[in-house]
Amino acid sequence: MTNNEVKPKAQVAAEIVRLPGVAAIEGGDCEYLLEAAALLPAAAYLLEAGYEFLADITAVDYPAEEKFRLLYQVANYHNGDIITLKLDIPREQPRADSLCGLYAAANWLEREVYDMFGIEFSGHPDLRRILMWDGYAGWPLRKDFAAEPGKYQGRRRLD
Amino acid sequence: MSERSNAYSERYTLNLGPQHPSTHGVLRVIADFDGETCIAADPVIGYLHRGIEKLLESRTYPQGLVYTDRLDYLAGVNNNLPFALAVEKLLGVAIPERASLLRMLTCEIMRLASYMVGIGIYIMDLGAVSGVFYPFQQREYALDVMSALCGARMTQGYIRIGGVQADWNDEAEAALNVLYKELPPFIEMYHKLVDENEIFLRRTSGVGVISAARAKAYGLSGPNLRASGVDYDLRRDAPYCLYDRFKVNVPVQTAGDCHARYVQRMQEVDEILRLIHEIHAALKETEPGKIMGPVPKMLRPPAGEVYAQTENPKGIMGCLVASDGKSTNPWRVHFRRPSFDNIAIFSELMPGHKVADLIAIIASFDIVLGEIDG
Repeated sequence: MTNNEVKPKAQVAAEIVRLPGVAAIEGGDCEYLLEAAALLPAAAYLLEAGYEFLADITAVDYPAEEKFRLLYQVANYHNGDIITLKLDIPREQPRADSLCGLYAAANWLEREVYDMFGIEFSGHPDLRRILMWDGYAGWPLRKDFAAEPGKYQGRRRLD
Repeated sequence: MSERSNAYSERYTLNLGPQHPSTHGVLRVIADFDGETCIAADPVIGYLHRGIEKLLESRTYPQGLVYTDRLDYLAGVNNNLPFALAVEKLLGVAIPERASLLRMLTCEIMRLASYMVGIGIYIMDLGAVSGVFYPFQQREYALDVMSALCGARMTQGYIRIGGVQADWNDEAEAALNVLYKELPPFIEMYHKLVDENEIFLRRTSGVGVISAARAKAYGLSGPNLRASGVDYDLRRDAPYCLYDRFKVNVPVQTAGDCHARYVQRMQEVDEILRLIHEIHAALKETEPGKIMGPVPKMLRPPAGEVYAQTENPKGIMGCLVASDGKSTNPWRVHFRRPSFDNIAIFSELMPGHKVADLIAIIASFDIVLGEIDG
């Protein structure tokens, strides 16, 4: 109806690895490991290729390897194919480029990652906590954040 | 000219929620108004945040599964599915045919139940309080089926990693037959009750219009997306389970306003009922008994990061499961909760509308805060 064309997965697989800093992950189904500078060009390429549906952004904490891994699930509104972009960033002062300029959906998804992991997104228009309250200390989904059962975490003030 | 000789308006900030029935739980919207017209809206969420993703890191996989029911608690089974699919993908186990059919059947029944709540509460929020009781009665018939099947009405945890909890039984069959008998006359009656209601039409037509382009940019999914004219449903376009065996018709609207979102849900209800009939017929053809795949008692999936997605009543639900390959607990679980992504558009959609329209917009989205807040 209002759908435009989308490039088939095989064609994307052949084209995206030509971008500098994009490497296919072996054994993965359209999964790519990016260098930090390659995120925006790769996302722009996917948007151009018809992958208009930014389904998910999340992070995984790997303290043993001193890194966070950001996972971007970029899908489309045609066939359910997902292109997974993976970006490893250092655990010290974690920072990545924001996709808000390309996908409006990135706004809240990046706020959630910031809220839970403390990863800063450069160029985000409104980077503040979303699930936890303003002024909350700590990044709950980091592995070094200990969940203390029974501990009352304080109440959110209406202000 | 003095200020009084002209009609002038006052600027003020209104706190919508978090404790108000029309916010569907604990959604809070800080809205700035100029007179009656909204000029800025900022949804504030997190009042129901329970840290389910963190909790799952300290539970085994089967233990974690029951937490997923608490996300979209109006359709518990549908939330089990993406988690189960992701873990099964990681484990590489095959699911028996009958288990897959039972998963689809229960998902469609709970989808129906969820739509009944969505439609009923929508009408109630617009002032027609009696409009909520009829769909809730139908929802009760759907919940009776689940209750007979697995013993729980709402947070069922019916889908297990590798299959389902219980096989189809006569009691569930009888309950489903009641649903078959009661639902079609109800739908006909409800169309007569609501469709041409002047107040309903005036309050919803042209309110909260989302263009297809904005819906895509914000990553909308589910009925809210299809009401804006984007013809996309995972059950048809990227079938999981055994949906590829069935013909899934996807209704689509073009208007993208609050009224289109109501029409969309009502049209989808017809499709859901037809699908339930077809899946039920297919289920009867399979041998009873085999409802679990070869899954070990202690799950220790190989290392990896997998992502699975399903079409849920509220939209596309995704589940990321990361395993370190050593532990019986997942290293990290993340859910794409459709309502969370759907309401991100509120701050763009609400400005320009009146106070009462804000309620219509929130109601038309059919949100569940358990899902938004995680």
